[in-house]
Amino acid sequence: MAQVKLQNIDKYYSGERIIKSLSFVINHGEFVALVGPSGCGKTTTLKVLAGLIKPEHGEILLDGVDITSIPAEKRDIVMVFQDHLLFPHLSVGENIAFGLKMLGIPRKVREDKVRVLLEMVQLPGIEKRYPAQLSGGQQQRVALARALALEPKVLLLDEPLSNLDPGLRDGMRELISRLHKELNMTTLFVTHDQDEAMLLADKIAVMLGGELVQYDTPFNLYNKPISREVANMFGICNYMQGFLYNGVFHVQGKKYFVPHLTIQGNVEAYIRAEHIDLVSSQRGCLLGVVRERKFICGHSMFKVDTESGDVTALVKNHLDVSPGSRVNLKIDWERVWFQSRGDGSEGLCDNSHIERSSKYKHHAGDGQAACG
Amino acid sequence: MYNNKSKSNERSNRVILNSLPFKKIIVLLFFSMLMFPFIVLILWAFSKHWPAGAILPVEWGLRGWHYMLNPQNKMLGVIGVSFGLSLSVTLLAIIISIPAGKALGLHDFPLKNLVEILVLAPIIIPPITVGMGIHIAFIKYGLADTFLGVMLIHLVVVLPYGIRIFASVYKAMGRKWDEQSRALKAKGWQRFLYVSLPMLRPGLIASGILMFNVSFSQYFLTFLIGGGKIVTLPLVLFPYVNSGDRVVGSVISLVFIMVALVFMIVVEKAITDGRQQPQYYYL
Repeated sequence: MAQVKLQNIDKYYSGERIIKSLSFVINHGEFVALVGPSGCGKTTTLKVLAGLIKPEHGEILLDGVDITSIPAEKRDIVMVFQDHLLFPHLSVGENIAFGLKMLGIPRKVREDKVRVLLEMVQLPGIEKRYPAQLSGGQQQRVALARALALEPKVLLLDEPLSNLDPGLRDGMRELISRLHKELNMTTLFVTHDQDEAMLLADKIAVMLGGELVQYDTPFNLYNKPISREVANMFGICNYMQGFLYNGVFHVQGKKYFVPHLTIQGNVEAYIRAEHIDLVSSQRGCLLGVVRERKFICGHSMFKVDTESGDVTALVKNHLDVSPGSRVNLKIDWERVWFQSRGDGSEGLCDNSHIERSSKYKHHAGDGQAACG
Repeated sequence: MYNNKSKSNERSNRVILNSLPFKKIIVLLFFSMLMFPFIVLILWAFSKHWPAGAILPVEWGLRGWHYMLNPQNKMLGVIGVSFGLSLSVTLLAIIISIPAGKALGLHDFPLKNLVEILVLAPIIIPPITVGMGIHIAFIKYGLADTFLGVMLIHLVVVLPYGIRIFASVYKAMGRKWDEQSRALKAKGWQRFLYVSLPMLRPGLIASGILMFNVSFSQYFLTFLIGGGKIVTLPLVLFPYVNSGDRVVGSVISLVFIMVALVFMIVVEKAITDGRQQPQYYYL
């Protein structure tokens, strides 16, 4: 079992607070992604966990044991760096066995382990080669094998895919995912690519400006983002500010029926671009003029000027609408997420259609009741 | 029209500049310019009689070499002292400048700029001023006229080169390798031995050869601090060149060059790892 717990971690760099009372828990065997824009403190968090940087405040617990003051070389945590950092003067075999050699494990055992690991990362028989003779993808795999050789309780990956070509990236992603399933190792990986995080992780921690904004499953991050920033990170989103009363959403003189909602008050609607469709009937629709059209893998993205401001819609590709035409936008209100405005202490508004993870069961109950 | 012509002219010029024969000629020219004094030196070393006006020596002989090998002149001892002195100075300087270079290359500390300037000072300030001041102190502490004293004064002159080189090597290396090896559970000494040291190789070669040569060709400071008791090759060479015995002077010069050259080749061969492509060059 390996459970990692960060409690109120603070880190300062030349007087500036880089990490602001960061707390979260990674349970045994979980694959967690740390996502955020560059400079938000992701890599620093990883280095704090690895023991390479000492936080000013806070504690790190590994299986309930405080390891905050234990140096990196004595922690049961291994980190793989962004630019793989294979030792250029050592062969692939020596690189992979490096950690074991440092621990004084005999040569025979090391050699056997290297062979097994190279097979695991699908690069059998290259022990004798040197890092300079390998391609970028191979180097990254060897770096991964080198970290796995130590069989750490926790594996930390710093942007493992960012230096690879798109084609190699898919292969590497599958490899990481497969290895995680096989070894069931508690893993934290840092990325600035939200899609990558969504594809790989069990849970995603979103960091902004040194703070943990939301820590949840990919499902909840997409369907129930806590703020505009989070919503924007995972897909294209439109926002409408209005007033909810008796199952009607009032926005700029228009009314939309949302009978599944019981909450009242000032709210902001987070409308995903893919939950808007172009339709022929005008009933209950938003009217607008197409300003721009772009193709995005199998879909068309329309930017439409409407009476309620700019709206971005992501629709199926077979719709051939040229810029300048008038269109009717139908919003799938059942799938819109409402966030209360104002003091903000209210937290999240509720919408019933979304399946809840166990954490939100009580909310789900409310929603269903409203629906029925 | 005119434009076209000038363009084609430019192109033909470039063709000439890039052409292989032209490059060869340039290389040969520089090579002969460098080798010419060396050839004159060899001719002098093996001549017996070379009157003014003659293109080549009239008579050949081995007088200089006999002088060199004659035990009475203690020349082999002088070579030994010279080599031993420069080698120990170089080794000591490397041991000092690796940690110093690491501190300057990787760490920030108060008054770092001042320390950097002070480290460079022995190169900037004429050695005579440094030497004079230190001489007085050395007399006081009984270090004047001793091997140890000469070694220390050579260290002062040589250290700036070493510290500079290792500072830039460490700067290029960064902390990442140290962090990576820490993450792979290497203890302090293991990190230095298995990771830092192999990566310092280019710096070791560059600084080793440079510092050896600076120390090996040091005349004034050896003379001042050694007080004539510590006799090195430059000290022996100078009077011969000065007094006009060109034959013996040339032989000593050749030996001087040979020792430095052999040291350079040995160091380069011993430290370079043939299996590994050098990632960057220093100096």
